[in-house]
Amino acid sequence: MVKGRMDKKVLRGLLILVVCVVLVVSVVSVFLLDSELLIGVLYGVAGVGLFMLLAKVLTLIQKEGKQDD
Amino acid sequence: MIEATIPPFLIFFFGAAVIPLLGKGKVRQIFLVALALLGVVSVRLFIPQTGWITPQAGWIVSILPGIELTFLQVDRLSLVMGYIFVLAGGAAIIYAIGTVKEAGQYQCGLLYMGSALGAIFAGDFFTLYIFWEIMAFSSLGLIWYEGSRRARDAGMRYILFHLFGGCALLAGIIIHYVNTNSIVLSPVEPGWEYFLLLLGIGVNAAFIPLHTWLPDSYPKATIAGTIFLSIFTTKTGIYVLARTFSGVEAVAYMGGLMCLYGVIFAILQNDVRKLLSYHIVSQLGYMVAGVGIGTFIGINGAIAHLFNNLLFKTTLFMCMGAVIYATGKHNLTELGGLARKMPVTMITCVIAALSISGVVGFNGYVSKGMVIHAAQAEGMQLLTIALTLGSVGTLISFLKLTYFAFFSKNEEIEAKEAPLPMLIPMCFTAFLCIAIGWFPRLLYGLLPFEEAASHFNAYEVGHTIGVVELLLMTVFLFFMLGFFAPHDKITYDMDYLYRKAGRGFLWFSEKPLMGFAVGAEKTVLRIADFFVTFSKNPLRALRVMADLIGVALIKPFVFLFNLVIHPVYKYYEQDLERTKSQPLEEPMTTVSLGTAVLLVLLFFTLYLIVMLIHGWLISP
Repeated sequence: MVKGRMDKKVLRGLLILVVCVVLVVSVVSVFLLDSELLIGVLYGVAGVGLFMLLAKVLTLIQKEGKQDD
Repeated sequence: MIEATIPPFLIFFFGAAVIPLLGKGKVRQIFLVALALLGVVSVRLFIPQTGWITPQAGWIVSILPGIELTFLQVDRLSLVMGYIFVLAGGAAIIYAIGTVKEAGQYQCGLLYMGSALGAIFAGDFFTLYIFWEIMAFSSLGLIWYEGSRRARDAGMRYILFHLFGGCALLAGIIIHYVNTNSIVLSPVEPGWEYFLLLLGIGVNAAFIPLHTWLPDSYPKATIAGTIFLSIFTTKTGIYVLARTFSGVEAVAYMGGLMCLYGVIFAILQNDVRKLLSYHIVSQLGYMVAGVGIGTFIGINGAIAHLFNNLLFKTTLFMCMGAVIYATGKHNLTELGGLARKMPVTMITCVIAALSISGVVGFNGYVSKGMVIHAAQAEGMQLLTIALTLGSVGTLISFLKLTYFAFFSKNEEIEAKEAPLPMLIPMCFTAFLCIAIGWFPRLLYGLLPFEEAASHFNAYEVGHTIGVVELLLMTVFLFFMLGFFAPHDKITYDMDYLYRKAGRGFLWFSEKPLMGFAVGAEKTVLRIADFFVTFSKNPLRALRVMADLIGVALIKPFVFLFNLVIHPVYKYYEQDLERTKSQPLEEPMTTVSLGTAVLLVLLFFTLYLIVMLIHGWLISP
C-alpha cells in the first residue's frame, strides 16, 4: 500500500519533470529559435494559468446560495 | 421556381395550429416526426444559389405603396442556416417526444422554430422584425412551461431584454427606412440606425454586457425547451449580424471578448445547463469574430462554426437533459458515476465535448481553425490569441463536465438510460459531429463562399500539431492540478448589477419621482385655481396675491426666529427656572488652599499692573 503510494508520487514527480522539460524546450524553440513547432504547449500552459488566475479572482464575488433568490 | 415552394415557417406554424387537435398518443408522435422530416424536405427543395449577392425571392406582399414584405429570399447564406435549423430543430422535436406531454409546449416550440426559419428567409428588415418578435414570445413559453417561480422570474427578465432589443431593432429599421427609403436586408451606414440595429442584434447575439438573459433563462426552461432555445435565438442574431455588420473590426474584438468571458464563467459553474449556457456565449464569440473579420474565410468560418456548434451544442444539451431526466439532479457536485448507468448518453456527450473543445478529428476543430486562420491572415494577433486561449478554457470546462457527471465516483446515484426518442437524436447529431470532422468537405459545399472554403486545409500539419500540443498540455494540467473541481458556490455576473440598478430605479420612481410628480400636480392645480379665482374677482385675487407675497417674504424671518433665537431664549428661560428652583443651602464649590493662594496672587498682580498703567497714563 505504502509502496503503491510512493510509486504514484514518483510517477507524478516524473510527469511534472517531463512537463517542465517540454516547457523549457518550447520556450527556447519559440522565443530563441523562432520556430512555431511547439507553440501549442505554450498556449496550453498560458491558457490554464490564465483561467486559474481568473477563477481565483472571481472567487471574490462568489457567494453561497442561488443567484435568483 | 421559388414561388412554387412553401416557406418553411408556414409548415411549422401549421403544425403549431394542428397539434392540440391530435391528442397525446401515437398520432401526435407520428405527426411530429413527419413535421420534422417535412421541414428538412422543404429546405432541401430550394435550389442552392451560386452567388452571395444574387438571391431568389418569392412570396412578396405589398403592404403600403413602396413597402413590400419579402417572406422568402434564398441565397447560400440563408440556405445553410435553413439546413442546420431544420436538422437541429428536427432533432429537438423528436427529443421532445420523450419528455413533453403538454400540447402548448409543442406549440411554443413549433412557433419558435417556424419564426426562426421565417427570420432567416426574410428578404427585408420589417419581415425580419415580425418574426424576431414572434421568436421572443414563443420562446418565452418554453421557459414558463417549466412552472416554477424561478422560471417565471427568469422568463420575465428574458422577455424584458428581448423587448428592449426588439425596440432598438425597430427604431433602427425605421430610421434606416427614413434615410434610405429602403427596407432591404443589407449593410447599414454609420449613424443612429447603425447603433440601434447593432444594439438590437447584439441582444440576440449575446454581446457582452447584453448576454445576461441567456445564462439566466436557459437553465430554467423545460428540458426540451432548453434544446429549442439553444438552437434558434442566438444563431438568428449571428445570421443577421453577418448580413448587416460583416467586416466591422469592433465586432471582431467583441467576439474575442465573448469567447473568453463566456468560457471563464462556464468553468466556474456547477449547474450543468448553466455551464452549457455560458458556453453558448463563448462559442458565439467565434462566430461574431468571424463575422467581424469579414473576409470570405472569416464569414465561412463563422457560419461553419454556427453549423457545427448547433450539432455539438444540441447534443450536449440533449445529453444533460437526459441526465436531469434520469437523475433529477442538475449540479455537478450531486452527479457522477453515470458512465455505466447511461452509456449511450455518456458516449454521445463525450463526442460532443471533444467536438466543442476542437479536438482533432471532430467538427469543432475544423470550424474553429477556420476562424482562427482568418484572424491570423488579417494580422489580428490579439484576437488570434484570445480565440486560441478560448479553446483551452473550453477543454477545461468540458473535461470538468464529462468527468464529474459521468466518471467521478458516486455510489449513491440511481439512474437508468434515457428513453429511445431521446437517444435517437443525440446519436444522430453526435454522428454528424464525427462525420464533418472526418469529411469537412461535406460542410464546405454548403458555406456561403464555397470557392474560398475549398482552398482551406483544416488538417494542415503545423496547425494540427499545435492543436494536439495545446490539448494534451491542458488535459495534463487539468488532472494534475485538480484546481477546477466543482463547488456549490455561485458567481455573480453582470445581471447582479442590473438587478441592483433595477431596484434603484424602482425606488427612484416610487419615492423622489413620485414626490416630484405630486408636488408638480399640486403646483399646477394651485395655478389653475388662481386663474379661476382671478377671473371671478380680479381685485380680490390681487389682494390675496399681495398677502401671499407678504407672507412668503416674512416666512424666512419667522423660520429663522424659530430656528435660532427662540431656542436660545428658551434655554436661558429654562436655566433661570432651574437655578431658581435649587435650594439656598446648596453647598458651595471649594478649591484647594494652593489654588486659592494662586488666585489671590493673580488678582494682586493684576491690581499692580492696573495701578502701574494708571500711574503711567496720568504722569505729566
